[in-house]
Amino acid sequence: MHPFVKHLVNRTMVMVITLFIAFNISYLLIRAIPTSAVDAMLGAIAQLGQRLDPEEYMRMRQVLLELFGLSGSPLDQYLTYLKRFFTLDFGFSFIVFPRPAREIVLRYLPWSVGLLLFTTVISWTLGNIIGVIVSFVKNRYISGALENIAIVLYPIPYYVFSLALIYIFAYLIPIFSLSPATMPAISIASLWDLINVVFHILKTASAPALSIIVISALGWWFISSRTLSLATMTEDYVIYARLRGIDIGRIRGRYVLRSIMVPQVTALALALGAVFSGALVTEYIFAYPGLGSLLYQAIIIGDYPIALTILSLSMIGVTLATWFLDTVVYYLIDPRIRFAK
Amino acid sequence: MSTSLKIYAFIKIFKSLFKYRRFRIGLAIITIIAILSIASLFSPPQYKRWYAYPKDRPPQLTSIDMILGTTTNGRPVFWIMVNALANSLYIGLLTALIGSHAGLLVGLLAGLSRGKTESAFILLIDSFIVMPGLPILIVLALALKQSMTILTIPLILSIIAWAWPARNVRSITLSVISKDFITIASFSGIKFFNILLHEVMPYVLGWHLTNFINTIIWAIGMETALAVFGLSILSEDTLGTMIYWVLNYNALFRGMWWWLLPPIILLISIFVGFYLISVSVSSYLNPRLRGGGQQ
Amino acid sequence: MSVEDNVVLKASNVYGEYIISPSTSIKAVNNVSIELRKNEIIGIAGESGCGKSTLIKILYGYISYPLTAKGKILLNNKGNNIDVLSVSEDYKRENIWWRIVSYIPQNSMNVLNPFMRIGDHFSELLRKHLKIEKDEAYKMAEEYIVNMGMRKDILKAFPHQLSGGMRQRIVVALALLLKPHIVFADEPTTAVDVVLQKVLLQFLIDKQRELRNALTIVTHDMGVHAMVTQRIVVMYAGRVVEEAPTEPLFEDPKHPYTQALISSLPRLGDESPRKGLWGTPPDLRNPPPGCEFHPRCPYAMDICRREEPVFTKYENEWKVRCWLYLKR
Repeated sequence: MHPFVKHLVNRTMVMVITLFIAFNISYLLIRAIPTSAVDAMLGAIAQLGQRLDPEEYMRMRQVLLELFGLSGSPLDQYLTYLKRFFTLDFGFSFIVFPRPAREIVLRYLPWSVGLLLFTTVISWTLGNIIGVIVSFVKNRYISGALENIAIVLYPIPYYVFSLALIYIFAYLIPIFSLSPATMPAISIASLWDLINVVFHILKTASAPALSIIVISALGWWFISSRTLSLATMTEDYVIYARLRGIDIGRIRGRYVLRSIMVPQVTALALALGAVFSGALVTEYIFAYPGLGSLLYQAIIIGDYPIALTILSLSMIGVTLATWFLDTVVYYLIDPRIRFAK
Repeated sequence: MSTSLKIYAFIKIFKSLFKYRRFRIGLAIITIIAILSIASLFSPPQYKRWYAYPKDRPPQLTSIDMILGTTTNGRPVFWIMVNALANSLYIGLLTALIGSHAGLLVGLLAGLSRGKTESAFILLIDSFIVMPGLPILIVLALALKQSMTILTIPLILSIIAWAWPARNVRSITLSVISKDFITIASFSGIKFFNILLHEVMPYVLGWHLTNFINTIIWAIGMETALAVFGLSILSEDTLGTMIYWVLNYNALFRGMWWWLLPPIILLISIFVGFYLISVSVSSYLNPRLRGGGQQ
Repeated sequence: MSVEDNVVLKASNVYGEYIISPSTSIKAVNNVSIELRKNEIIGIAGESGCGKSTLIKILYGYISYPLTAKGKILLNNKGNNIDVLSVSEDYKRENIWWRIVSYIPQNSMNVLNPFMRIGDHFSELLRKHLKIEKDEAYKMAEEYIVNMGMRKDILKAFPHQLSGGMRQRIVVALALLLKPHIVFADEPTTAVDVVLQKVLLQFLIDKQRELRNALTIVTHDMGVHAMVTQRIVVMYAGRVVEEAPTEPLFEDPKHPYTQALISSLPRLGDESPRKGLWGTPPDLRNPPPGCEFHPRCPYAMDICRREEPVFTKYENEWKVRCWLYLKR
């Protein structure tokens, strides 16, 4: 059997089990909410100034009861919740009643995905490249200094760094603004609008992106990349390349960097959960219009539909992305697996 | 091993670690932190009451109470800070105690097992590693909102905390078991349990220490993250809840830097201090890096 | 100092030391002088750890930390003499390595980049040294591989897809790609089965005959030396103990160490049990005084323990460094 098939099966099972455990924990949450809380929730909706006519009220009550519910047998409830979990259908949102929670979440989703993709790709690539380059530097002072900086950055969570950044660059030297960002109504009527929107996006995203990239690239990825590079440089095939007189630049790229990409992809897959978690809090701190801020709103108000939607989406999304990196990308990137005998 | 031998070994290891500059710096930072947290024992009883002090006051050198000013809730920042520090450290330590030891146990079992049991362990550990930590913890915190106390938070955090230590211990155990001296020991008839205790454990314990420290860091980070979302303890202060209130009242916008700065500085110090120690320990354990002299 | 016409490399008083710590160093190569000649196959023999691998790395000019080297190594390139130890690594990379001298490393099986196809290994060399474009390089590589007696589609493969023997042959082919004057082969047949050994050695010899380069084979396997080399240099503990043409050396080895090495080989028709050499090579951090072989030498005399012997030269270009042969 092709060695990759075994790996694929293993990773898929991990994904299934992860989702299963995550789902069950989520189900526990539902079970923990007493039905008496439903009326309290409805009260909260009313307090938010939403006008409910009696029909909508009853419908909402019905949905909430069913969600937290005691309608149907235990097995029914379990299966219904299973369906809700995977279709992300948790009823109406409280904040923006009667719009469905899913709709709201999907509106904020692109911002988070955009930020995550952008920062992850850049910091992973940048960190790896810098790590390789620095491992070739002979000057002990420079490589030592960079290593020390990285060691200080590594254990700091994104959002703590964000707070420090906010203090320095919003309070002391005002570059970023302290007031919460508003989510622009994205109506692109002309090229000027497009430019405006893009500019606004970049401006809003720059602060959180910066926090994430600095810690990720110069902390996590730099350290692991440098360690791996130093180990790779003593491998036989790298020494043999030097003996053949291959240019150092080519050795850096085609030999060392190329070689560390494989374990670094696996490392990225394992780190995705942490990256996502950190980004979530960072978004809230910078009032970036992504899932982080929405989640905060939902938690404060007690908007369970939205909170559950975001949390389920997170769990499924991260698990899927991890699976993808660990299988598809890994397969493409390691010729020893892809072209196995 | 007799107690005196253990103490001797401990002192010897400590002395070697002390040679690393990183260890010295980390130890210094953590010592300062520890001293600060001990100050919490001297807190005046009214520091917890809202509006016991005038609110929103900047730092004044009139008394220790006012040395870091007050919050919008009318409480003294200094006393909140030292108590928050103590509580955060407490949560971190407890989580590490529970979580990393659970991980040690699972990791050992996983490394020593074969066949279907081994596959089961691998699947279990990998699944928890892949799970996105914060969303799961948020769900748990929402469900258990009422019972989030200083004692229960570590338990909740441990549900996730055990996974990385387990993975690490498993791989160390596997690599130790494959070493020749273990095979020779087993051939010479020494009982399995003794091999485990005297040959395997010394290797594993070193890494266990690193995992322990890293779990402290992770736990404090996670609790702070939960607190920022308003999901941590309601009755006590932690560094995270301080930040929660700061953000909630938009304090920085109103210029109250004395409320935001202490928790940030303390958090960064805790993370960096513990990590320096952890890095020194793992450098010490890795024979290739040892003997590198000035670190 | 000029070099004779048929000598391609002349090494004089070469020292090679590994600096372990400020107080300890390993003298892996200790005052070795050697000459490599055009169209000649020379063998360097000795146990593992005697310094032969370090010697050829130094002769090649590859000095990497913690190795340090000193001495004079003159490369004869079309009448110009280049001192290998005094030019920069950049210079060697651009002008000397792989073009004038090339290297077949130990452990050939694992020296190919697992992430690069075989064809790329060839084309990267051609593109760098001949300054040609990718397509042209690839075409050249194809022709070259076929000339070497291997199939064209090997170029598309990744190293792990090929058998160990195939990879070995590729490494030899790579070494000969730019038709260098000097080829160093470090233990080319170790870790390879006997059948493949013969094929590989035959391959090496055929190519040497064709290209008329100076081939240096480093191995502890005396059988290989007997089969292939024309001249042998025997090393022990970082120093040369004997040097002679192959056949005469095998018939009548002079140095006790050489005798032990050769008598350990099985011979057709000789059914007496093989005698190994007892003892272990000396610790090069702290070598014994006098002749470094004396602790293991069956003929050790008093003077051997006190003073280092010097070379005795015979006709036929035979050199021995042993008190047994020094006329006092």
